[in-house]
Amino acid sequence: MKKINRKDFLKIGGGAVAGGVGGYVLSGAPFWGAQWLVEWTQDQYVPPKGLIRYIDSVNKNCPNGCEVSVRLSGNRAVRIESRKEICPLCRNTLQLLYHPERITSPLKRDGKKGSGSFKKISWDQAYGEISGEIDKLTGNGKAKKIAAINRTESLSAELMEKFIHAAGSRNIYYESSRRADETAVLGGYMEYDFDKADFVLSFGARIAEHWDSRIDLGKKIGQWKENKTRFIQADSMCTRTASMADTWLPVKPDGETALALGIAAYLIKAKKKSVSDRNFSKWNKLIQQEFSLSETSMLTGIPQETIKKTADEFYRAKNPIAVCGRGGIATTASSLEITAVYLLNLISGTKAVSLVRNPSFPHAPEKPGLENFIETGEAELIFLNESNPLYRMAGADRLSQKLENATVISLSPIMNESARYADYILPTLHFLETGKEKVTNTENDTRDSAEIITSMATFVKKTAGLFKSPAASYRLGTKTQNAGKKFTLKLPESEKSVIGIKDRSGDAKFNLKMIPFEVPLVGDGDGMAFPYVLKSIGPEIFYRKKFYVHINRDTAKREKLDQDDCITLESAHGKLKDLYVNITDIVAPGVVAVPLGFGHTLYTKYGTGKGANIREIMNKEKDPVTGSSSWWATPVKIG
Amino acid sequence: MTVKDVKMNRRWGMAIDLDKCTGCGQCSLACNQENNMPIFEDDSDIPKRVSFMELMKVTNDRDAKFPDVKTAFIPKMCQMCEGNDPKNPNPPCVSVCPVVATDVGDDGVVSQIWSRCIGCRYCQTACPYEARVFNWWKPVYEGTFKKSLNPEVSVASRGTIVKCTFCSHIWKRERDRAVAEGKLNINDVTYKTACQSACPNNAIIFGDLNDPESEVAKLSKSKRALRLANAIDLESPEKQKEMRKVKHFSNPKVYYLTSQKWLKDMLNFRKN
Ligand code: SF4
Ligand code: SF4
Repeated sequence: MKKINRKDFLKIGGGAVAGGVGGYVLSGAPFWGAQWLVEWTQDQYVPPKGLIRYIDSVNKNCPNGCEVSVRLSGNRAVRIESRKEICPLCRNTLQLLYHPERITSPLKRDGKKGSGSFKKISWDQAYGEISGEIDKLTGNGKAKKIAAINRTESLSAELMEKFIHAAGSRNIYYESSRRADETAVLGGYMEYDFDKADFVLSFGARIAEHWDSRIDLGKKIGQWKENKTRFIQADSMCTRTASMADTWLPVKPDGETALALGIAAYLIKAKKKSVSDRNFSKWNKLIQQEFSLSETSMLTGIPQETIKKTADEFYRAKNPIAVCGRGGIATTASSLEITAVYLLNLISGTKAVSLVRNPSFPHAPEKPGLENFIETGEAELIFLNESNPLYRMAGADRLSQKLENATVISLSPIMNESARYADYILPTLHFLETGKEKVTNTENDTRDSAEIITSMATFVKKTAGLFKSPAASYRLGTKTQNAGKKFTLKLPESEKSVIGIKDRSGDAKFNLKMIPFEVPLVGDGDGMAFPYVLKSIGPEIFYRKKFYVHINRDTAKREKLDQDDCITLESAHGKLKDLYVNITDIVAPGVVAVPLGFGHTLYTKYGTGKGANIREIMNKEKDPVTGSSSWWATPVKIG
Repeated sequence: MTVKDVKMNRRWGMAIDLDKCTGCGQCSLACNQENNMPIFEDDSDIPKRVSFMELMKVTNDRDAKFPDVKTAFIPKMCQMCEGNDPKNPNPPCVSVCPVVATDVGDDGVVSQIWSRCIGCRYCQTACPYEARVFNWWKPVYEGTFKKSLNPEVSVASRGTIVKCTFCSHIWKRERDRAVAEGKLNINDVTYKTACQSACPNNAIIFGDLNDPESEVAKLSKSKRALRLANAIDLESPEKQKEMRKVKHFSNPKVYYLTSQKWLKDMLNFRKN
């Protein structure tokens, strides 16, 4: 018998191992083994499963009243859907609902004003103390020292109006509002029927950039293309709206007012148009004198022929619309521009524009304009109703003083720059957690803003009987009345203020003009608290902590700037530091275009400390009629 | 008959009208939410960012001067390539995967199974559209953000590649619903992707490219349609045939529509 030596043994063993390995490999086990190993090392989080269902809900506090359909998995809301268009804030609303930095109970200041130190209190204590302060003011004949700053026209804003009025004050302001500004000038605001229009001439209104918070306008632009409605956009930057328009009039920065006045002057003269108004002839004389075609062409940088052609087209159209309010969400226009644009609509005889007012939102404060109030108003008790004026308005230094000297009550779901100065923070419920529309529960001690206002009113002596029905039964007032008859032409305070628009440059050392522009989803800063918004910001705006401003190629050359250079932008009102240069010809020569919505100093850990806030160095001169300051073409230089 | 007996006839594709897109970003919001995109401390940090859809702002200012400039937005996701032969789809990313973590379904959707991925990143290198992202960090969903996670999409983990799947989990949901109603023909099941449902301007149209009556099929044949960096599209059918013989083209199933010449040029990296 042959002895099996060590070599043979190894051979046999080797064969067995080889066979085993072969079998193992062919069995697919290594694959499954690797798969198991991969999954085991991956440590995946598995979200709990639950019954999938849909619940419809309406956001009463959204200016659009967005109707959403919420997909729930068990009791968790996992997706916002909708059958209709909704606004980006409502689309992303789950990130607010489940935001880890939501304020979870009423807070009272516990330390120096603005120090950011707060302690938790009960709702009854909050109502009791706040109403005590209000009673003290009304009892001492100081009711007028109560003020409220609303964010937009919403249900809570409407209830706040009622509450403040009943307490004896008219000091109700809105963070830059087209409606408030136009109401101050025209007695109502322009309502546009974009379906009726056969010609749209927009004076810087960035219709594709969520203009006026409307959500249906992107679609309208598409419809205009289909039904051959001409769409002309005047803007000093190549925005998406400008690119979507049939014609873009690249006006000089701030040239929109001159363009509107020039077209009005031309039509009144050439087409013998007039308006029955006692101030008309005086007004007309002034603009004829100052805004001839040649002069307008010089002021706007648009050739005379083009202005004339545009004016003629506008005149020939059956139902043209001249759109007023420059910018995207937060729009502004001077009283002159508002007047000129409205007159254009008036003399065209269009049926697509009407002047209306919403009686629920009278827009009739003591002095018009929030910025006016910030500068000169007096208040001892200020409600901040979902608003953050310290971040959003020009003149923050003055406002912070004001907030420091008054009792401040902030209704807000998360902490922000203005709420930091509050004496009381009343955390609001999310619309998905409240009322008939409730789809999910919260463990937080937060309340619906409508409920907060109506409950507070019952604690205040003067307003105790104001709200008789439960908060949930109130609906946003959307009925409007015709305000056309109320219109009288306001004369500019002086000829100078008309001529003034011709020379805004002021100090010659500020050789550039700064204009703001909108970034998708960021809006005017609201979006920055939400990671899914941050995820969509493009590298041309914010890249690895670098915040970019846009400068034209020729201007960059003249200023000796290179791509990615770090600069400081300086205006008469201050400096913005650590801006990076993005050289692009989508902005006009001589312009620095700065994205809106950045530079939060306190707006959750996601929004804080990213980029710069353009409002810190914007123009501060107030319009004599609207009381708002102009955001456009602030003279700046590169420091 | 069972569901398995029915052959899938659909070939899902997408047409995105860039002339209608305002760049509002709602498609990207909806995508992030639907697909459980991770939430990092700073999602503005682009190199670290994980998302399926990129909303690219483009302009022709390299070749034009103010005011002859234009801007547009291109929502870009996985282009669902099928390679030279639609009957035998072969996207650039699929053949390189050593563990079959990515494959082409019988409905044309290029799938990606996160948990199968070993993180070699071959597919990311092979993809001509930078449609794939790598989770360099463990995807976290800070604090209460976790509550909004969609249970239908598995959460990825560190070291894996993720990408757009045309929301194929929604198709599965719709199929299950149909089956529960006794409808066993899977070809009756249609669905909408999250981005399409979210677009307020109807710029994104999704549907079956095999169905000549579908909107997406019609749009894909439009003169305005063009695919991203797929140079073959610009040639005559005869030339295309020749070109296919010598080279492998990506041939995406995502079509972009525009009548703007500069944008067409840009989509194919041409100077205008
Ligand atoms: S786009 Fe990239 S990931 Fe998508 S199928 Fe094509 S190669 Fe694959
Ligand atoms: S939702 Fe539609 S319009 Fe908005 S960015 Fe996406 S594709 Fe464009």
